[in-house]
Amino acid sequence: MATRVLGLGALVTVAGATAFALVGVPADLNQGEAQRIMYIHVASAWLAYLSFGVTAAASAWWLVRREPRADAVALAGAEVGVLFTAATIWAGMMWGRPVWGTYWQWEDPRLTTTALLLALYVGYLLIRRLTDEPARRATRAAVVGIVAAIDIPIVHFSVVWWRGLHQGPTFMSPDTILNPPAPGPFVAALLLMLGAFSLAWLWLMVNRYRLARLDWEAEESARRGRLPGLAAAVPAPRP
Amino acid sequence: MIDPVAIGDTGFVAAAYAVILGGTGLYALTLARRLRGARQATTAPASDQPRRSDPPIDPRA
Repeated sequence: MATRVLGLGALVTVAGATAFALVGVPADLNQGEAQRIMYIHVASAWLAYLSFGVTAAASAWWLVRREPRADAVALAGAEVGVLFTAATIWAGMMWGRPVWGTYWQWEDPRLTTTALLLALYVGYLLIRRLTDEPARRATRAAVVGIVAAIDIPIVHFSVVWWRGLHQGPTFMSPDTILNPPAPGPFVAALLLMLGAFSLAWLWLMVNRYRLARLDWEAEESARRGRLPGLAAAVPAPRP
Repeated sequence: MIDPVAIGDTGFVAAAYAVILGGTGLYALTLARRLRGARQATTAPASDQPRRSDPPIDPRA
């Protein structure tokens, strides 16, 4: 019931935030209409970071405690993170063409490290399919989940460490959060979109976690030959 | 080949929002459907009898 309320709330707030971003906020003086893409781009990027951070923390949790729910959380974070990273890249490309004059530039450190981040976590999801043994799979994935997380700060600070096409951080310190270098309606639209996407992220995480837990239980039951209906389908081993 | 200049900024904004919101919505629907299927599979009673929806077995076959 609570998840349904969360899902409905996410749907309503995402619709409201999208309407506000598309028609409620004026177009930017320099970037024009294309600036509206920034709201969905930044919100997606922040939630991608959060997702992969959750995966790294849950991976460490699995390696220490070996609890199946830790692996389920890690999987949920990785899959949802891949979704939001792909959204970030797509929005960036749609913004880059009219503003930069190009969809993509491999020389840009932010773009390249973000593409690497996507590849790392797609790899994480692929590695999970290499074995059917749940504990072994969780351990292998946990190692990848922790190693891949090294790229998160590299992506974030790439605009500070190296020069490229991508602009520097807008919200980098507490001072810039309290005194944002952008007009109030723009900041309000960004925060509204971030809040709406956070609700959607939470709904996706909860449901992906539940699915992963059910899959784990089904796999464990099947391994013991106790899956409903499987006992009749699988012939008993000969003595 | 589509000329990006002809699309205009509004086209890029529409493409960005449509693909992201549509893709996320599709993922959410797929997730809900898979979750419902997994729940039904784990709560189904264990049985060695064919399901009611299965066609009757022809003994001559």
